[in-house]
Amino acid sequence: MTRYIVRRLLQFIPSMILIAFVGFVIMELPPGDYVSNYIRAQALAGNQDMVAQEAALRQQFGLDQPFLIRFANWTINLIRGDFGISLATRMPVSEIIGSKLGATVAVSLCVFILSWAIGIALGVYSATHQYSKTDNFLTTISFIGLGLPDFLIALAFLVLAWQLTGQVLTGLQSPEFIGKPFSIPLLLDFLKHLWIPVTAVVVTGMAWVMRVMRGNLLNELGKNYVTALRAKGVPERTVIWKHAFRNALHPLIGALSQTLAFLVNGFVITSVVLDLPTIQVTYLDATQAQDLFLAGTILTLIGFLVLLGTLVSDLLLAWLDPRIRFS
Amino acid sequence: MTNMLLQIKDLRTHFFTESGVVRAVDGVSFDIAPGKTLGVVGESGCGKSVTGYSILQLINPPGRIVGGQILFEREKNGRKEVVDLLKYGARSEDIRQIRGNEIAMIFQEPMTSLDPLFTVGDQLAEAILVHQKVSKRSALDRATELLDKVRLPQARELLNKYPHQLSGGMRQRVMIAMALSGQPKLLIADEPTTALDVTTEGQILDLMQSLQEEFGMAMLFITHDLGVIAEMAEEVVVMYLGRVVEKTDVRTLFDAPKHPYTRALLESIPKVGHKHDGPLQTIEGMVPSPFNIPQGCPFHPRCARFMPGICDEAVPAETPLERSHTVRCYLYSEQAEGDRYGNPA
Ligand SMILES: Nc1ncnc2c1ncn2[C@@H]1O[C@H](COP(=O)(O)OP(=O)(O)OP(=O)(O)O)[C@@H](O)[C@H]1O
Ligand SMILES: [Mg+2]
Repeated sequence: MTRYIVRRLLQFIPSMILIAFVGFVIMELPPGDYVSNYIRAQALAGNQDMVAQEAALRQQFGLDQPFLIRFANWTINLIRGDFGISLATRMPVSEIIGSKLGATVAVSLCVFILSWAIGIALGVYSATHQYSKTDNFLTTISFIGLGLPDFLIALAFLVLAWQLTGQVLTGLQSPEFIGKPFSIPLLLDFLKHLWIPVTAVVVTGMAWVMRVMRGNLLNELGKNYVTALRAKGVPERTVIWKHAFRNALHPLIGALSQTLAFLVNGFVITSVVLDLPTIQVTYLDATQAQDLFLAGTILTLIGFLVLLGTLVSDLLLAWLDPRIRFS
Repeated sequence: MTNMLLQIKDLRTHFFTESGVVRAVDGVSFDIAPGKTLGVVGESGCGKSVTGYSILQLINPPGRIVGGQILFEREKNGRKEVVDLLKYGARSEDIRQIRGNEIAMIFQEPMTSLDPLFTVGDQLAEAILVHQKVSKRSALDRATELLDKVRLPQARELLNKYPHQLSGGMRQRVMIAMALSGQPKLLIADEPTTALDVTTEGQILDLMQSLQEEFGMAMLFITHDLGVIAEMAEEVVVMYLGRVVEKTDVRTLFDAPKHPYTRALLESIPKVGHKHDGPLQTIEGMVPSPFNIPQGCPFHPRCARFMPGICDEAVPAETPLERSHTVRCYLYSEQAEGDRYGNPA
């Protein structure tokens, strides 16, 4: 098993390089680069002096070198732990990402835990009470949840909170708490903001988990081995939780591979709409501005999380299913 | 008639599907004597499996047992008592204690009848542990003995194998071992060899016969194969579209079948030792849709002896011939079943 994990981790390296490369190429596709965008913006603002500095700027950022060299330099620095600087803010990329990580992980983790826990519980209930009123109700809820985009739900909550309290709960903190050391009022203020994005994204996430869980479990409950288990006198609880449920987890664990990347990549629009200090927004801005190293690093991070997620879900599947373990 | 192990009386199991009601089992009655084998035979879809599942209340929605009695003679605290299994709820503790313990069942699809995520040993031990207060260790010892009994070599190693590492024949043996774990009085075998090749089928049938003798259990043997019936059964019921059309001992079934459907079934099997030219003779016509069971005798649209105005009117009554032989056909009696049948449920 250890050898398998080591082998899989080694396979990460070429995959990561490929991901970074493709990301780099995509960043280069639009005409121009960060400097030409910057100069144009300055010129439009009436600052003609910058035009003369174009070549110097480009040299400063290393953008004058051929593509492959740029890529190689960046990759080598990346391995050394140096992610470069953001062209737009001149701040180290690692610092920018580090400052966003806390908020991102806080929202994402809450979203992940809640939507999976609630989704699984409701999905199992729904499947084991098929055709009941509750099942019909839950199925309707899950259709609505899947149909409504999360940013729309977030907006609705935002408006609702504003109408009820007169506060505009965008972001994750009120201005007076930003940058302050931890305290109980700060935590309460944080939670007051947190529930909007979390609930909005959980509604859709949970709806998806619930639908998959219900479908899989119903499928398993219809299989011969379930009838055989009942026929040998196994209590219904055991039939469901020990046997059918485990078998039904298969596709959900498969989906886990994407979930890790979703943590830094999901609910982008909601993040923008609610003005959350998450990495999603940073990534979006960096891509639009062709902020090469910042966007490239985040993209590589996402790629890494996809690979890691796939490994984790493969390991879990192998642990769960002997047919995978033995092949 | 006295001292029957299981008496099914007027069992009706219907499926309330979106496209209509399927009367899969519609007024089935038969008895099984202790230690004997009753064969149930009929074409695909005639309700054999549903009958077997109904005994242990293993019918899932949209199916429901809508009527009848299933009287089971059991020994409790040294006294014999007769209970109606249908009085117990499908999720009740009473029926759970009977399942796998007093009445066991094996299935048509050995490939899918075991949980793929657990070892053979775990699943055998589970069958023992849900009924007996013993340690996991002694359950596994017992499991090894049972695997020996079903003639699986290297039982110890087999305990740690997963279902996908076993062939179909081996899995069916494991299922049989599991069924024997509670020393049941009755084994319901739902086409246990249909999915297996001929050689394996022969071995499994032999095994079942010797185990039946050893354990002294009765069997309800479901099959669509008359050859298997000839080998395994003592008494036979012939089913057609959810009803029993003929009931007799196995000799009479082959020597003097009465119902036109039984005769047609017998003619449709190739005779051993006879050379066959041309295609096999099968029963003419199609089995009607289960949503639309013909009025009167359900077999009349395909029957060679169809009598218009009689057979398509009402369901014929169960007519006793000699000994335990009964038949439902107007050729033998003009009596119709009461208005209990034929009206929509
Ligand atoms: N879950 C279900 N929903 C709807 N109809 C069903 C269901 N299960 C069985 N039936 C119907 O019940 C009837 C009898 O089915 P059953 O499985 O008992 O047939 P069978 O005699 O065992 O056939 P086979 O030889 O193919 O196993 C069929 O017409 C089938 O369509
Ligand atoms: Mg069947």
